[in-house]
Amino acid sequence: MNTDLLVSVLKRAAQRGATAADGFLVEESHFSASVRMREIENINHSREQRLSLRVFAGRASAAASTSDLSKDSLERVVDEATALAKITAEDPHAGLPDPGNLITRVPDLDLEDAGSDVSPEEKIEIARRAEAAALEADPRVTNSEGAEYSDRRARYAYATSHGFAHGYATTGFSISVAPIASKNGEMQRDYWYSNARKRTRLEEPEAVGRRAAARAVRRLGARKMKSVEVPVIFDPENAASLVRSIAGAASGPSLYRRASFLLDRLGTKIAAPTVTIVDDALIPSALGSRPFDGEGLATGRTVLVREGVLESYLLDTYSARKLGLESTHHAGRDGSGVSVTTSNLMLLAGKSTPEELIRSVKNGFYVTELIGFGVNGVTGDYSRGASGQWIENGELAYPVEEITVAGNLLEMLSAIDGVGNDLVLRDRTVAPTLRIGRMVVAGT
Amino acid sequence: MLIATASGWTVGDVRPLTRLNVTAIAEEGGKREIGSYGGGGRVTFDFFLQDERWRRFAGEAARQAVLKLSAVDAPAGSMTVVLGPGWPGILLHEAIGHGLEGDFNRKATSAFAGRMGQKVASELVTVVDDGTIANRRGSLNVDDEGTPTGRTVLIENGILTGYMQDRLNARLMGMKPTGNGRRESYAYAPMPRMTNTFMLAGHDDPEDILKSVKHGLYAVTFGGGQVDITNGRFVFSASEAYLVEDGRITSPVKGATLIGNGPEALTRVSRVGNDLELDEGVGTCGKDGQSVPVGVGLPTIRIDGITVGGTAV
Repeated sequence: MNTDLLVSVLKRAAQRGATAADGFLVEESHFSASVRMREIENINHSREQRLSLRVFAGRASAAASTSDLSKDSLERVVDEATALAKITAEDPHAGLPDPGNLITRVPDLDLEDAGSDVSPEEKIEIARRAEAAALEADPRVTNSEGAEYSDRRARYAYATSHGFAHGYATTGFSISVAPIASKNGEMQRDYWYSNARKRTRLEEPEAVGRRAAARAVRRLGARKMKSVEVPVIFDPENAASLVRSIAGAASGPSLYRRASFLLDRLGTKIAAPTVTIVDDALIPSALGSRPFDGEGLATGRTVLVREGVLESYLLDTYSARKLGLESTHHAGRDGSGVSVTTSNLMLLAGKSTPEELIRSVKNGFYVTELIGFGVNGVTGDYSRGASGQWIENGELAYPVEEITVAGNLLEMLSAIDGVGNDLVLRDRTVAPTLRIGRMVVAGT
Repeated sequence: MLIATASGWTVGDVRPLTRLNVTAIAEEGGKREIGSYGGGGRVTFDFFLQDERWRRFAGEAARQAVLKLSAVDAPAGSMTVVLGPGWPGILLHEAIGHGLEGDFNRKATSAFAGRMGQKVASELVTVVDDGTIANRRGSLNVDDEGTPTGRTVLIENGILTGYMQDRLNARLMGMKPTGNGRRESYAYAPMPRMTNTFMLAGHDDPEDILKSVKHGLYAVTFGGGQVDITNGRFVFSASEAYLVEDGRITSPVKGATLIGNGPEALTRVSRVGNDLELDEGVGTCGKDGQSVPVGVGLPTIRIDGITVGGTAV
């Protein structure tokens, strides 16, 4: 990617009196086609450019972003951001990373599909095949919210006023299907998906459709339950949401605001010894991989939790300075400012098969969906709406819904007494099946 | 913003939108809690200086954080719940609002599909979506397709009466657009969305409603909510709530998610207060990856039986 534009923007900031600046440029094109009940529902094609800019005047700073990359617009954005930085209050922790720490060679992580693009008709056909497989999988699949194929091609460039200027490119492909199963007036929707950096690594559309159908059908006949305290098993999709909550509490901004249940817990035991959580940005062709972070720092493998002990926080330069620590190279550049973000975040696999975990439960709950926002990142208090399957005598007995699962994340992590061997890196944050010894399930 | 349509006319609008949010952390003996409060609307920044609103928001956030330090475990199970006025109207947004958006009903994927004219709530319940109220966060002069906003009665005395429509779904269903076609920005396609969704006031004194509860929960502040349109299950999370015993408010309880079934939950509304309030203007609604500002409102109401997702069995 041509970084000249970024370099010229940073140069202008310096001319206007900025003492340092950095910029992030994204060029993205996106296509999606959705099909519903075998007919085309939506076709979407978009191209987008965004430039975000951080300007420092000593220890004071301002951020700005624009999607208008014309010369006039960029000059105005730079001038306004620089003027703003000069009148902003100083922050002793503000600033770019030490230039000596910036990456010098950008590793090739094989994040871009080298194949040629296929026609819109072929893309529509992928969505059509996925939905058809769901509709044909079971007579109880009677309706559908549709199936979607989408792809994305993006180029990123980052530059600093110290002279750093590097970029990389990625592609992403996805298929998703959301069928509806019904019986005796009851309707249940579920979904399945496949994401990949390379088109050929997508799962077969039919396989995605059939899996989605099976997930919807198994929810039919759902019952409510009486409130009870039982072992709870999270399937891999929902176990991943627990890992996301831990990452949120371990991220710099939550910590320096003292708004985290992991505050002051570095080096202490926060989970069962079977729990190891790793963030690895350098896995070739993986969905969360990136060669450097949003501040030009080399990415790598961070062990967040090792055998139950909190070993690292997730920090960008600013939050690290504020906490008196070193950046862990987790800066992200989503909006105009800098945030903390993970790459490929994984709770590593254990030894049990998911079947063994289910068999180990006499009376308990297997979670297949969580809804709502009932996670308190400050206290770890946890209460979410759930649906799934009730386990009786080691077997999935019947579907349940309109219940909640509640506890406290720290207690839940310590109560993990089974870790599945079914870890698959099919998303940016993943986990295997997890068994939590006891949680409160609230129902009627 | 400027909207041009295929039929050849254009409409322009100016849409200020401001919001101030305050988050406070309280600490005591190694225990930490968070309180959050805010407001705003289609107003300019001086709104926050009027009557020292900013000070009230900050005070509320601090009060909540300190209060929660002494909160006990929330109960688990189905019980009588009294919702306070204002922001708890998120109940309506999740329990019925999304399910009455035109697209889900055209596709018959909503738990409310085909139930027009049927009883879906107690006769005490009338719910409207109104995009025309001056300066509210969910208000618009015209929607994002240029249709003037209006007041759509969704439920009248317990009977389902209306859907919210954009142009496309209205046309496909042979109905009229209701001014609910909204999009996050130019980069997204419009779809049916709510504006300000609230329940009309009833006749009961809010204090009498509380006094009528022998054992239950009084919930006054909520975080976010979510709904599964198809099976109707919805959640919304209380962040400030109290136990009610023998008609009196007693201990504050920890945050808990409330879960119910949309077409059924409002049939259990047994009392509706005379104290309708709209929220302060903090709501953002997400659908299909698009966020739009919305408002909600509620008088004090009593629901006879909704599942509270606490930890105290």
